[in-house]
Amino acid sequence: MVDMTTGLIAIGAGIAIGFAALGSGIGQGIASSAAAGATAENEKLLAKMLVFAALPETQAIYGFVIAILLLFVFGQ
Amino acid sequence: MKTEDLSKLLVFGSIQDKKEIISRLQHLGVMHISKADPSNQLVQDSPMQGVDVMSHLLLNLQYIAKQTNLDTSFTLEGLPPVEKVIEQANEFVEKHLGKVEDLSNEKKSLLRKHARILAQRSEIEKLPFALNHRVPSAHQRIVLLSENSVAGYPFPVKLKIQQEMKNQGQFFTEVFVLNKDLNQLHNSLRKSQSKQINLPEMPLGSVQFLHTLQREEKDINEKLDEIEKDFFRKINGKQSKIKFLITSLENYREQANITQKFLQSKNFFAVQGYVVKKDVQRIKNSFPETTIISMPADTKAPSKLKNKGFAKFFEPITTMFGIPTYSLIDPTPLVSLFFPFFFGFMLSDVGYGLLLLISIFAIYFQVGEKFKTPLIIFGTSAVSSIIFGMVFGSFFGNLVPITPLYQDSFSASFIILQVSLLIGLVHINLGVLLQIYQQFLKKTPLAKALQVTLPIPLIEGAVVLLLFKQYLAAIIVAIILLILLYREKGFFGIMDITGFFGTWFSYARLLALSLATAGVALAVNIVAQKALSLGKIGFVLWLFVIAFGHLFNFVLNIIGCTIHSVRLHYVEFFSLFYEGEGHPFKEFKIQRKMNGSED
Repeated sequence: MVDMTTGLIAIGAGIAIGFAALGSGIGQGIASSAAAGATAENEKLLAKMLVFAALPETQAIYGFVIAILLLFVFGQ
Repeated sequence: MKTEDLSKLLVFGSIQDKKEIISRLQHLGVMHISKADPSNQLVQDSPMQGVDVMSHLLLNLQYIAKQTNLDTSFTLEGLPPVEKVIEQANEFVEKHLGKVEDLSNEKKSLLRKHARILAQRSEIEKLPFALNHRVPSAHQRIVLLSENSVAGYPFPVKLKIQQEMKNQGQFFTEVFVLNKDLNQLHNSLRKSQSKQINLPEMPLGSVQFLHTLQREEKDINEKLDEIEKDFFRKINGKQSKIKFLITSLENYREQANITQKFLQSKNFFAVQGYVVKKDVQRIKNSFPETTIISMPADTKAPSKLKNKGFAKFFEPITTMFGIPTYSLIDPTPLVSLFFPFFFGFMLSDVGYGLLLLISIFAIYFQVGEKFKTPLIIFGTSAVSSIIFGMVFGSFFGNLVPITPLYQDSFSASFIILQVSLLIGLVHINLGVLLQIYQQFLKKTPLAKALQVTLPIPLIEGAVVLLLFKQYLAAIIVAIILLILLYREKGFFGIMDITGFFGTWFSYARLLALSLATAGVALAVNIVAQKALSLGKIGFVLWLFVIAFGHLFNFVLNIIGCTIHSVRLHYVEFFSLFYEGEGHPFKEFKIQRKMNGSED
């Protein structure tokens, strides 16, 4: 049986990564559509635009770091 | 780690020598010609007209088009612009010579096969007997050649001698040997003064094999005849001449365009450009009758990168962001180390690494040297993935069980997170060191250089002092830091502190992507395992899920790892020091060298 604290930590980790990924996904959608538009006008921009599209993923990484810290620092 | 040192050159010549000097400069191919600023005495030149040269080349191209009967529509009326002619000529080449080159390659491959068949036939025909005995299972047929009979020789392995015959003073012996004894037999052959005749595998005997070879040879000869007819009908030995004419057109176009950058007066003209320092004397020696002034390159100089060997292949990653500014840092050598490292760390799977390596070899054999650069970049990244896959014990997730050299990435995720952040710290501090070196190259005054380079070391210092509970020292360092940031960027300079942590934590993606690869692979394997329990159809489903699931994960992660490795360089690393505001060094040279391989 999982105790209450462990359960709350797991929920916290889920919220951390879940909302971070949600925000990151919305950001990535906006950035990617703009990048696709720019690439359609100038094919040479493809490489740079791929990087721009990947930029908002950083917020998801922060959420991921928090989730890992919650699980491994407080969860042990 | 910095761009090549250049010299600025000014070449002055008389108008009569202009064509000759341009042609010689093009053949030397060492000078980047830049647009000269007009002065009181010298005005901007105009592009060469060269009607005579153009007419000559056009007439030749039209003549060849008619002669080869390849394309009757290849006609150019009047004297169109040189770009139009080159465009049409290239279309002409692509349309017809491409096909001819394919035929030529097929011919080469057939000739290679033909040579192999001849070699095999000659070896078999040398034997004084036919090899008609069927090879028993787990055995191999070997034919030995020796001075004396091998019948009585004490070989360390058991040999079944099938037949032995003396021919021209030498003994030929057909023997069968167990597959497992092959190595031992090979080792003992040296002592017995016998040697093995290299023969292809012939499970149905040599007579049958010779028949097969003859059939193959006949097929190849028929195909070769067909190609010869097609090849000669289409090209009739004209392709090298067409290529030569296009090359001439392209070189002429370069010459015509480059004159726009010159300056000229009534009697003289001037060329301004940049050359690598060691080439200055070469140019001076090549133009003894011309006045050449050399001086140190200015800030408008182009950037010539001087990476060699392995690092050179990674230049496109650096230049995709921006060409290094002249005389400043070119970080390509570090990119060549960190890109494969990051990629491997994030993919970290032996199976996917091997798959990438196999794909690369397949592409290499299809397209050859043309795509060598991306193949080297991804080849080294694939090797790095295999190494990290072994460290974390991942081979298509847990599909192929291997013992990890360290631990699997799920069990050790917190440790790997710490390692990722440590790697990030090393990467960031390398960027800081490069910034210090850059300030030295730019000869920035010390106070200004400190203002630019100190904040990150001070943030790190303050954190370390806090960790060791040296609060007073940490506060002093923090105050110095805040003063520096305020003086450099005003109130919003404080954002640099949070910016540093943002940059640093961004390296956590090394773990994130590593876990994502392993996680999806694991999920695919679990789904496939469930399918296996569905009776007879289970195995087919298992195969389907494994093949498509891992292919999906492989493609997704190759794209992901590439983008994130590039991003860690562009956003986190380059932002610390890199000034990619240069423009490339382009030698004025012959555009395309003639290749006589098709002749």
